[in-house]
Amino acid sequence: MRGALVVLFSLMLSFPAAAQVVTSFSILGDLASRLVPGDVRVVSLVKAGEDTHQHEGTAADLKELRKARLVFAVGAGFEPWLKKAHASSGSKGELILLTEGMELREPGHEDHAHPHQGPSHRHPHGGQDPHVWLDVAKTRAMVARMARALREAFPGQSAEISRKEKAYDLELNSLQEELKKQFSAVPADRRLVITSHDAFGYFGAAQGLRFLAPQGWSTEVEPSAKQVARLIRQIREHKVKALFVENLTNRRSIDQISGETGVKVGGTLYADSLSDSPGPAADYVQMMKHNARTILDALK
Amino acid sequence: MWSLLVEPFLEYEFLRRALIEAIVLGLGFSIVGQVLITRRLSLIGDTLSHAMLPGVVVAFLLFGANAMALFWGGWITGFLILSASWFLFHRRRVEADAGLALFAVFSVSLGVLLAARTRTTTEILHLLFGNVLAIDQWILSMSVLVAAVTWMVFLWNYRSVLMALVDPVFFESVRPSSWWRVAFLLAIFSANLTVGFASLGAMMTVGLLIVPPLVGRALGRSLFGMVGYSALFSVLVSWVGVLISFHGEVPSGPAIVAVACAGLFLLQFLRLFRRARRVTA
Repeated sequence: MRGALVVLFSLMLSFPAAAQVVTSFSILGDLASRLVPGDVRVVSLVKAGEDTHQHEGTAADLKELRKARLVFAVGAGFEPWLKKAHASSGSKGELILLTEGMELREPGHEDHAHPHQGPSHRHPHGGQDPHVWLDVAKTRAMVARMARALREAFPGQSAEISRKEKAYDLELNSLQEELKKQFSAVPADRRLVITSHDAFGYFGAAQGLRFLAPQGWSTEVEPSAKQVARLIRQIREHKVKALFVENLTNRRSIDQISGETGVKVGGTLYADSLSDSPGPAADYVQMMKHNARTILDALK
Repeated sequence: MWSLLVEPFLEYEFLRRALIEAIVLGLGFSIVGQVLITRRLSLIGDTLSHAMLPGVVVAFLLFGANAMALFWGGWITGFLILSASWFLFHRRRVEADAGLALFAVFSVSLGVLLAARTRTTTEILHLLFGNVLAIDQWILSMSVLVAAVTWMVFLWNYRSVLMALVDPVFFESVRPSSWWRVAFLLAIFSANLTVGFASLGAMMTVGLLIVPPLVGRALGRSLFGMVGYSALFSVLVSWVGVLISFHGEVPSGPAIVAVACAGLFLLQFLRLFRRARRVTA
């Protein structure tokens, strides 16, 4: 018995813990997994299909953070729970906020049909929209930032990281071109889209579409009766064709609006999380293509 | 004035539905709330709103985000918790509120464990909770059904309910309830709460369950009077609350609850004032 224990213990000591990189949620996890060297594990704290806005740090999170060589997060208030979890885990891995230094959308910059709507309604995150990954150009910037940090953390494998970065950036570049081409064909009077929570501002800015939502950037805040009424009026006035729900959000508001305006719900968009593996948005590129296809089909 | 107070309801169906739902639920709650207050179980709504987690997680795992499945999951969990704590209370082993707290917290812990084990999150509970601005046909029909059954049972057992409210200890000593009868009543309680959560959300359900019945108590002279005033008051505050949410751009549920509480405070203040004048006169 004692012998077995000794063997077990020495096994535990000698077993080399695989280096690991932690990301805050599934989409960053996918980006990171395209860059890291072959022997490095990528762990996402918020799994596919879970809501990062409303996540709370768990003991399992602390465990993963503690083992992390690097921690990637979006920042801009998207993961309000992460900073504390990172600090209390005693992790030695640096926490890198990928939106740092990036130009972010603010409520004032939104092209709202009703400019009198005060900024106080729409910034539960502290005034900036964190959903940058829905603009491929911004995702490419985040990928470049991630690769730089990875090269610093794993200097021995920097050539491999650079090679992977180049290949992935090429893929993202062609995705960007493809989306641009597809959306440039949409006539100007059909460029209004309704979603359940206001996550698609960057996507809209990149493709020249206007997105409106009954719910703000965060999924935490309830809409007011006025917001819903204004949306219904806008749908009637502009003859909006495209109404969508996102994964992770309560679809009741959108269903109600759909019933009242007679506009059909065009499908599910993925904003804050990937789908589970055999789903329509199993990785970042598939997610963007799925969203584009769903929106284009409804706008036709 | 007309355009300010009535026109929004004519223009938008979702506002009409919000009002109708609040009226229907207010009718059922005016009875259930009365019983809860007498039994010193006013916070039961808040407790059960968290405690429904395990049933909702199981429903979600089996049927996905299906409103009907989530409703059944919540209802059954609520019923089991109420039954278990009633059973303990009835044998006089534990006080009613302690028994309820016991089973509620047990249920919450089971739900959290279940959610962690199955890689869902406790946020699933929010799929059950509705919003007064998004009332669909299904939940409206369900609310009408629940309110109708609640009223039928109330009218059928008017004398027993009256006696149970006036003197619960005496009532139970002269009339031991059969278990199926208790089970039926607890099922109705749980149904009222669940249908409230699924349509209005937890906070507004607790508000409408407690505040209008308190107003009813202050104004009504008979049981019917109490229930009547209570129902009338919930209609009034729902209407005013929805209007405030519409014109003032604030979320509807909290607006309605705040108006209800303000109404109750105002009423109590006026009564105090009148009593003071009577004393000095």
